Amino acid sequence: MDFSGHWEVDYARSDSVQTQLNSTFRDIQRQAQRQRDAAEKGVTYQGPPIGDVDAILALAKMAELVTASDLLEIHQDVAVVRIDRENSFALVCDISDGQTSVTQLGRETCWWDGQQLHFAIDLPEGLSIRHRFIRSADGALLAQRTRLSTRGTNRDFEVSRIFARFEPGNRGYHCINTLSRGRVCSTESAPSDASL
Amino acid sequence: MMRLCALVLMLLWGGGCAIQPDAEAITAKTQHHQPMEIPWEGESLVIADQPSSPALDVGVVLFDPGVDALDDSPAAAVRRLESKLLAGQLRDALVESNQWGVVRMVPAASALVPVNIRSQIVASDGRDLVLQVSAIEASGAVLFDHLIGHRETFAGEGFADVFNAISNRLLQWWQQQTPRERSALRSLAEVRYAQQLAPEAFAGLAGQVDGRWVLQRLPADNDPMMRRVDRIRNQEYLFCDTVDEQYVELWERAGETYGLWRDAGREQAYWLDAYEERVSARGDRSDDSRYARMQAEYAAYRSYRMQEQAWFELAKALDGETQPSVMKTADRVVTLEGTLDVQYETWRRLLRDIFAAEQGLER
Repeated sequence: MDFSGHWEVDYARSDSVQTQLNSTFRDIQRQAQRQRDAAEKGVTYQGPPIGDVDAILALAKMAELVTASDLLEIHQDVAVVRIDRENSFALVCDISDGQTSVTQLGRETCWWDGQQLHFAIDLPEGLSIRHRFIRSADGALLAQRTRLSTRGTNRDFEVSRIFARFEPGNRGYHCINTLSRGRVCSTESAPSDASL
Repeated sequence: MMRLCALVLMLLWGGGCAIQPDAEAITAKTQHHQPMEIPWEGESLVIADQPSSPALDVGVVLFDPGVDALDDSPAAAVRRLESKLLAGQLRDALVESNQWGVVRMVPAASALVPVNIRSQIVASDGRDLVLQVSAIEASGAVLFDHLIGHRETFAGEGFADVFNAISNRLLQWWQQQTPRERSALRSLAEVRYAQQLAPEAFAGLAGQVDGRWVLQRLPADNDPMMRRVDRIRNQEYLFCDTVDEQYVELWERAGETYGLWRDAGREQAYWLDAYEERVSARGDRSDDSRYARMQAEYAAYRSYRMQEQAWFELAKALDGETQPSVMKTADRVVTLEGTLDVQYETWRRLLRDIFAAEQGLER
């Protein structure tokens, strides 16, 4: 499956972290209510634990941070997929050898399951980030599903962002990230200018 | 890599980087089972008003990056780039000392100069640098062989102390040589160079005794063959000048980014130390919010990966480049392709062929 190309976020189709958080809290409220009802009736609550609300809030904020990139540029060859993300590090996967990168700051692994491209990032204090990339059959849309979890809570937080393919030449400018000067953007000549 | 440095530097500093050793004579055993030279912190370069007479020419061999030649990983690309940049810094320190004759960077050790300095990068992560450095003179005698560790503690500190110390150690040896020994070394290097061009023609001038080359007699002052050898030697110097130009160009292109990579590596290493201390001291009694801790951890990882990827891209791009060298001999222009090592060997072979043709020697 070819992921290569330029992608920009489609806000209309994407989850809002706030909406996801509201939904999570509604779920927590329902569980809390069931727990209270069970206690009033003197029976043992059988549902899943409510979870650490602080941790869920932290995960929601982290989800916003981790999925902040609005633009993706994907390069792909037979072995390697590289997802350059605006204002963040690239997710790089050598599909042929199930690449793993281990440093003291974190552990990164990736794999292709035949349908989806997976990236797993595990940080030393227990934050776990899972990205899955799925392309639509017609190749026009790309879904990035990001699930965050942490030690001490059994409730994950998941957010989906949908990206639409675009041609960068149509934007009137282009940007590159440089190490010494950060993000550098420059205007591009309009097609009519080019012929002059 | 960081673990290796931690190991080596832990041995160096005895468990605390803030503790300075009393003297360089203190040694520690490393995994190489060789005494590790304590870094010569703050060692100033001994600068002369003018080079000693006779001046000693020195060759700085491009550093061995310490990675497999077939390793095409980004980390290996960084090392290969660093091996050239660090060799240039050592050359600069030797030149700045004004103690030596001509200091040339050479792709491989050569009899072109009386003394070659060879170095291998054992470990390097931006904060810690471990080098194996040896100086070898024309007879094959090893003047010194040091395993050197250095920890950079602030931005822009660089490795001047290490390179100053290498120049100073070479000077200590050179100052112990009598004028007669100095002169003999220079003559031996000239003869060995001539022997490498035409072993049979110069067979009686130097021979091996107990594994070392010894000068047996000098060629006549007006020996026409030696004059041709001088001319060929000058042609080889031309190649070294090309290496030098390529280094200057490389430094212009990658020097600033290399500095940024070192800064990033150092900051991350110190951040990680502090982070580990915080974590071990904190336990579960942190005042930090969950989010603040997660954010700090992710920010560190993101920053590390972004810098690593930017540097790797540059290093890989430069690593893939092999600049052809255009060299002129007396009657033709030659374009040398391939890695510097290959180019150098091709050029030397060509010079030997030219010499043989001029002398009517069989090759």
